[in-house]
Formats: sequence, C-alpha cells, structure tokens
Amino acid sequence: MQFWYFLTALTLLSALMVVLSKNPIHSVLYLVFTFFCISGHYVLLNAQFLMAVNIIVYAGAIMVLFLFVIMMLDLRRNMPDSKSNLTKLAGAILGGTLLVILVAVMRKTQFPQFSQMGGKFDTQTGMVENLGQVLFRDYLLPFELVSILFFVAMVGAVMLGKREAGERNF
Amino acid sequence: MLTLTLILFPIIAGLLTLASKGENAKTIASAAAFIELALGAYTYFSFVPDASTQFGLSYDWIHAAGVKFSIGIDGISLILVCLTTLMVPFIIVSTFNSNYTNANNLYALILFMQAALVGVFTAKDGFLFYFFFEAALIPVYFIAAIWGGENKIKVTLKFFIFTMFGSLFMLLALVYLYMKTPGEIHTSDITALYEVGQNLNPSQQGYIFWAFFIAFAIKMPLFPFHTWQPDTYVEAPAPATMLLSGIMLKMGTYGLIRILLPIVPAGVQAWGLTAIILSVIGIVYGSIIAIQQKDMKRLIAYSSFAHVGLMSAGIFSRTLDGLQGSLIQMLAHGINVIGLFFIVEIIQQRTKSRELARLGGITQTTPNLTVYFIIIMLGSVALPLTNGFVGEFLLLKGVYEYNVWIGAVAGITIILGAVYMLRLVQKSMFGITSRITEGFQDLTFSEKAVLFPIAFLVIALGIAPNAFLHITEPAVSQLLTIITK
Amino acid sequence: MNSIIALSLFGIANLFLGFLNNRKILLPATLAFVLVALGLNLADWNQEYLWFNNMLRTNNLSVNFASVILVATFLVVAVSRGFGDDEEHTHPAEYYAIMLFSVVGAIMMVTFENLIMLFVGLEILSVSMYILTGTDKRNLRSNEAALKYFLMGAFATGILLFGIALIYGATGSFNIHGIEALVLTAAGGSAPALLYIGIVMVIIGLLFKVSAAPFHFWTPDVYEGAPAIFTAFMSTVVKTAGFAALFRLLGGAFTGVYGTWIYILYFLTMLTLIIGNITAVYQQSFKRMLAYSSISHAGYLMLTATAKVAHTQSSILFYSLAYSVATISAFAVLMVVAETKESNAEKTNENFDIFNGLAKNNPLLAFVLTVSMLSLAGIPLTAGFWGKFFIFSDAFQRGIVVPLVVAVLMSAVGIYYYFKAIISAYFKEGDVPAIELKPIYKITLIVTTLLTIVLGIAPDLVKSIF
Repeated sequence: MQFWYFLTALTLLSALMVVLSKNPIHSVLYLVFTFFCISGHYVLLNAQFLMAVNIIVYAGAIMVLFLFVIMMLDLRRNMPDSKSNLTKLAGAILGGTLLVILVAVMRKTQFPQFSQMGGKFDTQTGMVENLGQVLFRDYLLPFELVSILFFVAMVGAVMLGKREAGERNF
Repeated sequence: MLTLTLILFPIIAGLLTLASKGENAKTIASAAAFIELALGAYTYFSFVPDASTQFGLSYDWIHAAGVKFSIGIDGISLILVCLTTLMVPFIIVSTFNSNYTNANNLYALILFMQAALVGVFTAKDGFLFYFFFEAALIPVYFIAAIWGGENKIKVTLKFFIFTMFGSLFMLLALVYLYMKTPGEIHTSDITALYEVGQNLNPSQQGYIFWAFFIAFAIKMPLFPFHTWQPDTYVEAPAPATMLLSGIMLKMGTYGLIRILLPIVPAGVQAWGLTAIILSVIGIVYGSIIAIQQKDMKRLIAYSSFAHVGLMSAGIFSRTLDGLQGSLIQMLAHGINVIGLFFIVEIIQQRTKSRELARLGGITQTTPNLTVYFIIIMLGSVALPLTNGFVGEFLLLKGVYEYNVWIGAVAGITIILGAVYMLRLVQKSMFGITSRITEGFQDLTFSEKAVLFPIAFLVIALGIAPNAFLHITEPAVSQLLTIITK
Repeated sequence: MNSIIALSLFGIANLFLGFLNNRKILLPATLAFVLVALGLNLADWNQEYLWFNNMLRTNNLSVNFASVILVATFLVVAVSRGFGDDEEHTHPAEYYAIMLFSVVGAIMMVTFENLIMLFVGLEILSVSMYILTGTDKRNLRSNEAALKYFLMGAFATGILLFGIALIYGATGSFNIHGIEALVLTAAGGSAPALLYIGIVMVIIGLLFKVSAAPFHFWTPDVYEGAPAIFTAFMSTVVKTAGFAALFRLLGGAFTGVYGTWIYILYFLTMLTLIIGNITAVYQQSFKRMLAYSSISHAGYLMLTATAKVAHTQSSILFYSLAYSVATISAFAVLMVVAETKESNAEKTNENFDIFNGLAKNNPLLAFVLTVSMLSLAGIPLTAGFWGKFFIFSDAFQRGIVVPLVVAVLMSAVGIYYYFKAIISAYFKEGDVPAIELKPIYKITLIVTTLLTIVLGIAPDLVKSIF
C-alpha cells in the first residue's frame, strides 16, 4: 500500500512536470517517465502484459517518435506567441468545468469493494497466458483480419510515400 | 392481349425507327402509326358498349408487393385510346414538311409517347397508372427540349419540374391508399383503391383529394397551376405542342374521372365547389388573355387553357351530362387543337412569323387552307353541327344542373371563345396582304392529308356524336353510381 | 466468410502480379478475382452459418448485401481501364489490391456478428479509402482530400470505438444478439446511461461513414479531390456497407430502445435530405453535385433504415443497387469525357459544361449519362424510381409522415440538378470530339444502362430475390 502511494505521487508529479517544464525535450522525457509509472500501476494490478505493451508502445515507440520530431523541428526557435487573455479565460473555464464534472463523478461513483465481489477475484486475468487464450481462441478472426488492416496501411504508406519520377512532387 | 399490343406495338416500332435513318424513319414511323390506328379502330368496333372492362389482362408485376401489370379498356378508356391512336399518325405526317435534325429520334420519341399515353388510359392498377403517367413525360420533355425554340431549356425544365412535383403528391396519395388495402400483401388494384378511398373519413378524403387534385390540375392545367403552360406550348416544336395540348392534357382530365372522383367522393363533395370555381376562373381568365394575344401559338395555348377549365368544371359537376360532355369534349378538343396548331405551324413555316399584326391576306392565294382553318375554328368555337358543340353543350348543361350561377358564368366561354377565335382567323387570314404573306403557297399534299381528316372529324363528330357517346354512357353511369353511393 | 478469405489472398496475389512487367493482365485478373469472390459469396445462399466463435454470420441478408457490394466493385474495376496509360505515375497493382482489401472490410461490415468485427471492418474499409483518395499524388486537391478524410475519419472511428466500449460497459457483450437481448431486458428502465450514450455514439460513427448530415462536411471535398474512379468506388461500396451495418444495428441490436434514437434519426434524415438537395442545386462542379447527391441519397436510405418493417432490407438493397449502378455509370462518363478533353490539352474542371454538346458526337455516352441521371432523380422507367417507391411505401407503412413529406419535396428539387447534366449533354452548344471507347468500357456502360432500364420496368426480377 505504501508503495502504491509512492508510485501515484511520482506519477502525478512527473505528469505535472510535463506541463510545467519550459523545455519541450524535458517535457517529453517526463512524459516517458509518467508512462513508466503507469506501467508500474499495471504491475500492481497483476497485468504484466499490459505493462509490457504500455512501455513498448507508448514509452518506446510513440514517445521516441515525439522526441525525434521535436528535435528535428527545433521548437525553441518558433515558440508560439503568448495566448490572448480571451483564450486563457476560455481555457480556464473549460478546464474548470471538466474538473467540476470529474469531482462530481468521483463523488457519485461507488467503487466496488473486494468484499462486495463475493471474495471471488481471478488474479490471473491479466496474465499473458490467459490473454493469449482469449485472443487466439475467442478472438482469432479479428486478430487475423487486423493484419489486413496493417497490410493495407503499409502498402498505402509505401505507395504514397514513394518519390515519383518527374518534376512535380510535393 | 389487344390492349397489350396497343401499348407494345408503338414501343417496338419506335425502336425500329430509332435504328433507321432519314426517309426510312418517316416511312416506318407513319406506317406504324397507321397500323396502330387500325388497331385502335379494331378495338373500337369490337368493343361491346356496356360498363364492363374489356380486353383485360393482368400479370404479376411486383409480386411481393401485390402490384400488378393489369390493363383493360372500358368506355371511358376507349374514347381516349381512340383519340391517341387517331391523332398520332396525323402528328407524325404533319412533320413531313419540316426539317428536323435527327428526325428518326423525333419519330421514335413520339411513338414512345404514344405507348405511354395508351398505357395511362388503359391502366387498371394505381401504380401502373402512375408509372405511365410519369413515363409519358420523358419523351415529350426531350422532344420539346431538343427541337424547341430559343428559351427551350429553361421553359422545358420548368415544365418538367412542375409536373413531376405535382405527381409526387399523387404518388404519396396512392401509397397511402395502397397501405390501407386489406391483407398481408396489399394490392394497388384500382377498384380496391376505390373501396379504400371511399371508406376514409371526410377529412382524410380531403387530404387525398388535394394530393390528387394538384397532380392533375398541374397536368391539365387549371388556374392557378397553369404558369408553365403558355411558355412551354410556345417554345416547344409543333409536334410536341400537339402532343401536349391534344393528348397529354387529357391525362389530367382522365385522371380526374378515373382516379379522383371514385376514390374520394366525400372529398369531392367537400372541395368540388372550390375546384369548379378554380376551373371557371380559368375559363374566364384564359379567354380574356387569349383575346389580347398577339402571338398565334400563345393565343391557342390560352384558348386550350380555357377549354380545359370547362372540361374540369363539367367533371366536378358530377352529373351524367357533365361527365359525358367532358369526355366527348376531350376527343373534340384534341382534334381541334391539333388542327389549329398544325395550321399555325404551316403559316409559321411559310412566313417565319406567328405575329397576328404581321400576317393577313393569306386567304387570297389559299382557298384550301382557308376552308380547313374555318372549319376547325368553327369546331373550336362550338358551332352547332361541329364536334365542339356537342361537348360544350353537355358540359354547360351539366354545370348548369350543378349550380345555375356558375353555369351562367361558364357560359361566357362561348361568347369569348367566338371572339378570340374569330379574331385569330380574321387577323391572320383576311385583310390586306402583308409583305411576308405575299405569294403564300396553298397546302401541299401531305398537309392536306392531315387537315382533311381533321376537318372531316370535326363535322362527322358534330353530326354523329352518338358514335362515342353511346360507348361512354354505360361506364359513366356506373361511375356515377359509385360516386353517389 | 469464404469470400473474405479469398479476397484477402487475391489482394496479395494482385500485389505480386504487379511485379510482372505486363500491366495488361491486372485488369482481367482483378475482374476474375471479384467474380470468384462473388461466386463464393453466392455459395452461402440459403444457409445460415456462424463463423469463428460467433464472429461472423452469413445468411441470405449478408449474401445479398455482399453481392451488391461485389457487383459495384466489379463495375468500378471494369471502368477503371487499368488506370490509364500514364505508366510512370500509377501503381495499378497496388490500387487493385487495396480495392480488394477494402471489399474485405466492407463484407465484414455486412456479416459482422460481433462489434469488434464491425470496428475492424470499418477500419480496413476506411484506411483503404484514405489511401485511394490520395493516390493522385501530384494533385494538391487529392492530397488535401486524403488528409481531410483521414483526420475526420479517424475522429469518427474514435467516436465509434468509444461507443462500442460504452455499450460493452453497459451490457458486457460485444455480440449483437447478446446486446439485443440485454438491451431488451434493460429497456424497462434499468438501462444505465452508458448504454444510451454508447448507442448514439455508434450511430454517429456510422452516419459519418455514410455521409449523413451534419457529419457530411468531408464529403464534397473528398469526392471532388479523389480521382473520379475512386470517388465512384467510395460513393457506392462504402455507402452500401455503411447502411448494411447501420441497418443490422438499428434493426437488430438497438431495437429495444427504439424510442431513444428514432427521433434523433428522423431529425437527421430531414436535415440530410434538405442539406444534400438544396446545396446540390448550387453546385457548378458535376463531381461536387454528385457528392451532395450522395448525401441526399443517404437521407433516403436513412428514411427506410429507420422505418423498420418486414421488407426494409429488400428496400435498402434495391435502392443501393439502383444507386450504385447509376452512380458508377455517371462517373464513368465523366471520367472518359474529362480524360479526352485533357488529352486534347483543353482546360478541364469537371464542371457541368464539360458535357456541353456531348450528344452530337457521342450519342451512347449521352444516353448513358441521361439514364443514370434519370435514375438518380427517381423518374419512372428507371431503377431509381422503384428504389424511391419502395422507400416511400416503407416509410408510409411505418407512419413516418413528416420526414416522408420532406423527402418527397426534396426529390422534386433533385430533378433540377440532375437535369442540368442532361441539358448540358443534349441542348447546349459545345464540342466534345467523338470518343473511342475500349470494348470492355463500352460493354460495361451498356450493361449498367440496360440494368437500370430493365430494373425500372421489371423491378421484381431483383426485388423478389432480396
């Protein structure tokens, strides 16, 4: 339990730092750290597969991509102009409203207690083995057909991205 | 089978015409039209004059929906089938002197039009009726828009959208009635629709009345739905004008008799007076405008508008005389107006003008044309012993029976009609020869071949109207018993 | 199911065929592939199967819808002419392969039994369409259209996925029959709000794909920017598949809470009809007009999709078929005319006046265009009339009066803009040189036109099957 509090505090702190740090590269690095913390939560939930996927996909692939983009574009040189007061006000109202809603939802929601679930709780649900069972038995067809989706995307990306002969290219 | 042949034969002939070229197209088209005329005559003579539907035929069309391809001819249908088969050959022959580009297409479209018209007049199924009613629009639209005058595009599109718009309401009403027919699979048989319509409560009948009325009123056209008509008649080439005024507007009046009256008797009861008043306004309004026209074609267009008003008033009077009169008048008006438009076409071809002010003195060189013009004009004015007289007399009698005052106002039509028709003839034919009417050629053989039969029919029908009246009478009486039940 | 497997393999085979130096083989091969798929699809006729742990269901309904999709695909492929002779800039093998893959997605959307399959199918179809939209790489408009379509489509897919997740949260099931049963029991009042939100979100996601208002903003730009052949493909296959999916959800899974969504749909139907038709009147570009016309046809289809009666499915099928055939012929004529003008180094813009004087030297093309326009306008003697007729009678049976009256008024408006094309072709002065058509092109055009007329005279030929 103490570890959970520690992890949560760490997550919130690093998430705050994402927003607060001036340097975009620092922001991204904090974001990567946030993802690691969230993966830590998955471990606590006994969902190791999700933990691995989270790190591979978000921290590994997407964030690194972000980093590349930021480094290549060199954001510091063309910083966006400071926002007008109206925009700030609108943002504050929107954010405030969302906060109110979230707080209200939290108050209304009754989180199920472990005792309420009759003491039955399959601790192995999030393990790779169970997931594999579901994925390759119940959901075999969508799993296979998703490969077509990726294949189409790949073919399209190669086709559209290929540089053509001739002069006019964008 | 005979009815089906009447519908299919022009289509096949039309396809043949489409495939042929030049002079061949003329020959095929006119031969086909005359064969169709012979078929029409055969139908007329083998028809037993009673109230039954004869030469009937029924196939499943859309099985799952209970829509049938069912056709047949009764007295009311017959007179209009006769009109169609009778006039189309003359319309085709009347084009022989003009040079239309791609004439084979023109003839094919006229023949397609004929098939659709016969279909309308013989359909015994609500949706089949609608189908032909709309299908007739397509050929005439193309005839008018391809071979028409300067403003053709705008005017014909207006015409098409107007009429299509009106018929969509009819479609709604038909679907509504169809949905009310009993049974798991509904039926759109016209007698079933009668039954359903008559059992509706009066306010529902009122809605249905207006849905149908607008469709037919636009087609005829009645005041105030007539704005498409004069422009279209003027811009359309002669054959299209003849088809439109001679035959197609009868689809509207026929629809009133076949569909509107029997389906919603209570609706007609409630709104009949309104419809008659609109019709009578049309009569007076059309006549007055006709008197002031300078363009011959426009003048005849407005006269046609006035005449059709009287027919519709007769129909809404719901008397035997009114209905009989409107039927015989449909035939007579079809013959007369086609003759008149043809004469205008002849004059326009020779002088390149239709303006009354620029014409005159034609009669000096053209004894034949003068005689035919005057005969047809008299028919249109409804002089006794011409075809127009019978119809107009019966119509006025019917309207008079319905309401004396309305009858009296409608009676003005005779006087006004005489005024504008005499003015038409006098201004164009008599008087001093103008520059463009000098050396006006008299009729050629093919023109005579059209005008002679028309003039003959004007007189023959005037002398022996019974040839058709006795055919329509049983059907009309039966209809009246349905309506007044 | 077999057709899905076959089409996936055929798509890959097509890519390999692209390695051959003979480009001529691609077109016949693809046509043959589509025909084989159609045959495999028809083999499932009159059999009811559930596949792979209740993921897919094939029955007569799905066979019919898949057939309409495959026929449309066949026609589009037939008028593609191997994607021109511009050897340097086209990748016909890839185009055909992506088209086949997208049909896999479309058939999944027709046969799905599990919402996950719907999602995957929709994604396959959409991603293929994004790519095909952008295939004209050297055309800025095509690039813009692809990007726009992708961004907006991704949003819509996101909403759909969110909706599916919420429905799963409320019912604990992805299976549409399971959902149907749970919705029915929950409809008594105990249904959690999640369910309703989820249903509305799923409907919105699908309405986006079929370009119903107010989710139609992408349609005109995308239709205009994409190469005409893919616009034809998009406006027929995507629409049919989208409506099949919508119909299966509205008519099956969501019937229990009919009252929640029906008024929303009535309103959107009217909005779609009005926006589609009125805006179409003002278009100068023929392609843009067809885009708005496709919006308005979505409105008509929504009218019947909401009117759930016994023969709704056959009405949707008939309408989709009539609409697809007519649209494909219209696009085919547009393509060939635009291309001829372009090769004569004239400036082309795909406006209505591109057809000016078409009838003079190309009577066949003008006739094909006329019949397709008449059919789209719903004039008797064409298949389109019966499509509208069946839809109107369904709506009447259900008693949907107000949207119906709007639909009728709007179909009168429709005549105006469809006739603009006919008027250009026949009655306006212009110069279109006589166009030499390839045999397959000619045959396809004649077949589509004949099909439209034959179905216009004897609709029962097809209606009795559906």
